[in-house]
Parts: sequence; structure tokens; C-alpha cells
Amino acid sequence: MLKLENVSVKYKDKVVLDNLSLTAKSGEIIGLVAPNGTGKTTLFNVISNFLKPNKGNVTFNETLQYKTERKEISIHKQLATFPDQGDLFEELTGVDHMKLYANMWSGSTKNVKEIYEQLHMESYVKKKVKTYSLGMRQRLCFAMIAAADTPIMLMDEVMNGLDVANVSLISKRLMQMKQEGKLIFVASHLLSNLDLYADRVLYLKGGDIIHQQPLNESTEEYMKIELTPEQYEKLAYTLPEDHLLIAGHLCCIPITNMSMDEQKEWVVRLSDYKEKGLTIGPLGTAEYYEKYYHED
Amino acid sequence: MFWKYTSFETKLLLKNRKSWFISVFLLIFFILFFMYYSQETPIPLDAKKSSETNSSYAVFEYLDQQRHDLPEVAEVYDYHTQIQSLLGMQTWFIGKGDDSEQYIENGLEINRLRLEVHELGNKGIPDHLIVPREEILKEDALLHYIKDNNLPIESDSFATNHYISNVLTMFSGLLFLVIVLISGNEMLVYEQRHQSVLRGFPLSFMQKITSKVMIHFIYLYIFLLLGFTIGSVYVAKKFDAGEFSFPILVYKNEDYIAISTGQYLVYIFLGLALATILILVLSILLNMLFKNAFANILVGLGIFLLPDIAMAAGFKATFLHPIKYIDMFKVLSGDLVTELGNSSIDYWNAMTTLGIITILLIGVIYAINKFTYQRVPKDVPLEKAF
Repeated sequence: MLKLENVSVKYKDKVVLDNLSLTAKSGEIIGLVAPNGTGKTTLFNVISNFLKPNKGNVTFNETLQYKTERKEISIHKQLATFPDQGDLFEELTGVDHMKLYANMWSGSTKNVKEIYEQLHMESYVKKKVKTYSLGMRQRLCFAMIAAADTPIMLMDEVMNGLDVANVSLISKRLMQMKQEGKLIFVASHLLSNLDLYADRVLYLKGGDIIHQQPLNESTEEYMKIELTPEQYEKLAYTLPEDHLLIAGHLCCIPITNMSMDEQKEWVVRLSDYKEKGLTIGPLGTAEYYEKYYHED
Repeated sequence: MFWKYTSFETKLLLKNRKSWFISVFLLIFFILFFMYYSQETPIPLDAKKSSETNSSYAVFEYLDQQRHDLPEVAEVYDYHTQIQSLLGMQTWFIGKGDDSEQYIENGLEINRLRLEVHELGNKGIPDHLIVPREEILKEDALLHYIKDNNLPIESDSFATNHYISNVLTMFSGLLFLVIVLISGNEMLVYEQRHQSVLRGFPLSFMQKITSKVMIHFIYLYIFLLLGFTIGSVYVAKKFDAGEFSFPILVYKNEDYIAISTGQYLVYIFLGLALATILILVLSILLNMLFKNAFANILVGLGIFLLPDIAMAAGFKATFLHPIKYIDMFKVLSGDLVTELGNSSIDYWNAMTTLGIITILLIGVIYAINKFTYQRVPKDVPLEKAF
């Protein structure tokens, strides 16, 4: 459905995206993870053609590229981007915004009410945006893109400023959208939240994707425990060779190839260090994030 | 899609306080002008004729001194005697005599005699008392129109024309330009403040700007017409100046023709409509080039003043003259011909030129937009502005 080939974006000496390639198919939620200023928004801008890269191609449905305005319109009919809450029109109501997106993309406003009810926005959606709190605005931005109902959605910082209840509400809605067969990119700093609905998470570093983590495929399981450098020093010589030490404090021991007895033995051995708890499971987005961004 | 976008843009326009300020200004400008101007009542035709008779009488003093020595002056003296007598009759017919037909016949005869005097080189008449040929032709065109259309002439028949001409002199030109420039100064630029909301619509750039120009044009034009109508109703009621069949002179093909006030208003409002579209399209282009609302007003005004600056600097710069065509009042009255020394500027010439400029501007906008899709980024990636 979407293919990026060798996309490079550089501003003179500063390389933002470097020969990045990526493919994505419908019915997939792709999490995009990286610290601020590492090219997440730039990548979204390239996908939506708000930024023409120095090099590389973006192809939709195998043939469609941003070569002419006509082709751009054909692509934009299938793609909507998440608005920034600072760009909303203060004098318009939430419904006005939602209707705008519904009209521009799906051509009908009949779903607007259902969407704002689902997102529990009835109490304020008919008031002017200037009266909204940050969380209300963020929910409106999500409601707008939901009203657009396009097959491809790019959501940058979608959970910004939301409380726990609303994060959960929007996560549910995202899963529903995935069921509807949409391709959704979500750039977020709520790492563990991505584990809930993303099919894979991309880790951007140095302008390229340094790791792709599939989340719903069975992956290697680890025994995870936090260690101080001294504790790690003590244990190091007994640890299996393929163990990981993430960000200098999270020790992860692969257990997939261990027998039950070996696993029990490790649980007993590690119970001396379990001040912050011992967990068993695959590496999550948060752990990979630490691995790739906190080890430098 | 286009109409849904247009409906959203209309909503934004209606929510914008600037639009309301402009609307209120347009609604009250004409009526306030008429109220202010009502302190200065137009000179009635009988008073004008009487003053003309007195000026004409002064000529005799000069002619009388020379007519015995110079036969050409004697001939002029004879013609002038007839003119003087006819002027006296006109004053009578517009007053107690109350005979429009005779007034017009006498007027036409006066014009004929004055032209004869011109043929004789106005011998013996001092320059300041010579009636210019242009004035004679204008008066002739007016009287012919009144005669051909069987209009009863009265002392206050030209009051409507008087008020309308004065208000349009004030409005057309710089003031009109400033209003349209202010209205259109953010048509595209405001999108930069709401970029992430508006940037990815599946709508072509030309459709977007068509929608914007259309909405701004309709809103400006409706309020302009409403304001003018309110002002006209006020003038008609207050000064009994609701006579739209009386003629106004219009410059055409290096000559003056008379047309009814109603027809004149159709011409001027058609002209203002085209000029509004042109200025709005220019605003779109300036928005694209400078991406700044103030630059739109300043550059727009600068362009309008270019011909004056060029003239002040001693350049004729005929190619800049079309910029001034947006002042429809001056185009119709022929004032622009005198101001710029370019006799080819008449209404249809100006309308055609403004139409061509509008099409050219649209062409430039189209080309710039098309070019953004052809450009290949080199050192830096290309960011889409609108």
C-alpha cells in the first residue's frame, strides 16, 4: 500500500533522513519511535508530500507517486494527517472542525455525531475551540482525523496531553480503525501504549530505521531485572553469552531455549536482586527505546 | 468538494472581525459621505447659467476695444453678441420661461457658435475667457442626449449626477484599492497559521484560490452595492435626487458621449467588479510571493502609485498606465486621459486591458504552482507553503 524507497532529507550538512526505505500494508498500525528532533515529523511530511525530499520515492498502491498535482490529489484522497492543536481555529466549534474533515475526505458528515459521542466529547464539542483545554483539543484533533476516515492516517504525537482514560479511549478507537483495514502511522512518546495496538514499531536513528520490532508475532522471551553496575559486575561471569544489558541497568536473559529447570534456577538466582521486580516476557517498546537511545 | 470547501471558507470569512469592519465601512461610507456632502448643495442650473452669462459678458470689454481695427475680431464680436443673447434666453427658459426644448435648442446653437469662434482662433478673447473646445463638445453631447431622449430639463435635474459623481470620485481609485487589498491580504497567508489543519486537503490549488477569490468578491461586492443603494436612497429622499435618466458624460474613442446615469452606474459597477477580481487575484499572487499580509497591502499600493512616481521622475512609462485603470471613475470621466496624457484610455479599452491582466495574473499563479511540482530539490528539501 505504501512504499518509501531511499528517501533522504538533508539541510546542507544536517541529515534528517538518510536513504530510508519502508513498506507498509493496509490494516497495520505502525508505531514510530525516536527522541525529539530525529525526523519523525519529517518522515510524515515526506509521506504526505508537504516536504519534497532531496532523494527517494514515495509510492502508494504500487504506482501512485507525487509527480503531478493531479496525482497528489489522488493520494491525498486516501491520506489524512493529524492536525496540531495549535493550528485549530479558535472561533470555530469542534463540530465545525470535524465537519470540515468529514466533508473534505469522506464527503459526508453523517458519522460526525457518532464519533464525538464515542470519544465522549458531547459536553463541549459544540462550543468554540478557544474554550477548550489541551486534552479537549487533542481529542478534537483525533476526532477530526477519525471523521476524515481515510485508508491511510499519519498521527504525530496523538496522545499528547491526554489523561489515562482518554489514552485508553483513543487506543481502543485505534484498534477499531485497524480492524477496518486502515494503515495508521503513530508517532508517540507513550512507549508502552504502543505495545497495545501497534503491529510493529520503527526506531529512527541517524536518519534511518535502525530497528523494526514486530509486536504481535511471537518473539524471544526474556527474564528482565534491573541491576546496579556493581550487581551486574558480580553476576556478569555467570550470565549466558546472549544476554542483553540495556542502558547499563536492565539485564535481559533470553529464556526461549532454556529448560524449565534452568529457568527456575535463574529465578532463584536473580531473586536476590529483585528490588525493582523481576519480569518475564518479550522486550517491549520501552526496553528497545532504552536500548537504542539511552546507551550512548 | 469544491463547494464544501467554499462553504468552510465562507464560514471563516464570516467569523473574521476584519470582514465585519470592512462590511460596516462599505455600508456606511456612502451615506456618511452624502450626509457630509449635503452641507454643500449643488449649484442649480439657473445659477450656473447666470454666472456663465456674466463671464461671457466680460469678453465684450476686450472685443470692443479691437473690433474697429481688426476685421477678424469684428467677426468674433458678431458671433459673441449672438452667444450672449442666447445665454440670456437660456437663463429665462430654465427659470420663469420654463421651456426645456428652447433651452436645449439655444444651448446647441451656442455650442455651434462657440465652435465657429474657435475656428476663427478666438481672436480678441483673452485666454482665461476662452471656453475650451473640450467643454463645448461635452456640453453638446449632453444637450443632444437630453433632446434625443425628450427629457424635461429643470434647474435641479443634474443633482443626482452631482452627488453620484462626487461620491465615486472619492471612492474609486486609492480608497477602493486599499479596501480590497485589506480584505484580500490574508487569503492564503492565514493558512500558514493553520497549516496542519488545512494543508492536506484533496483539492487542487487553483480550485482553492478560485473559491477564495469568489467568496471575497461576492462579499465585497454585495456590501458595496448595499452601501451604495442605502446612500442613494438617502440622497433621493433627502435632496430629491433620484433622477437616474439624466445624462453623464463618458469619455469614449477620444470623444465624449452622454449616457444615462443608470447606464453609467452599470458601467462603473461592472468596472469595479472586474477591478475587484483583479486586485484579489493580485493579492493571491502577492501572498504566494511574500507570504506576508502587510507586504500585500504595501506592495499593492506601491504598484498602484508606480505610474505617478514614474511621471514625477520624468518617465512617461506608458506600459505602467494600465495599473491606473482600476480607477473606473477617472477612466469613464476621461480624467485619466488628461492625467496620464494618454488619449487611448476609454472604458472598453480599460476593461479589456484589466481582463487581460487578470488572465495573465492567473496564468502566473498557475505556472508558479505547476513549477513547484517540477522543481528538483538540491541542497535543501522543498517545503510546500500552501
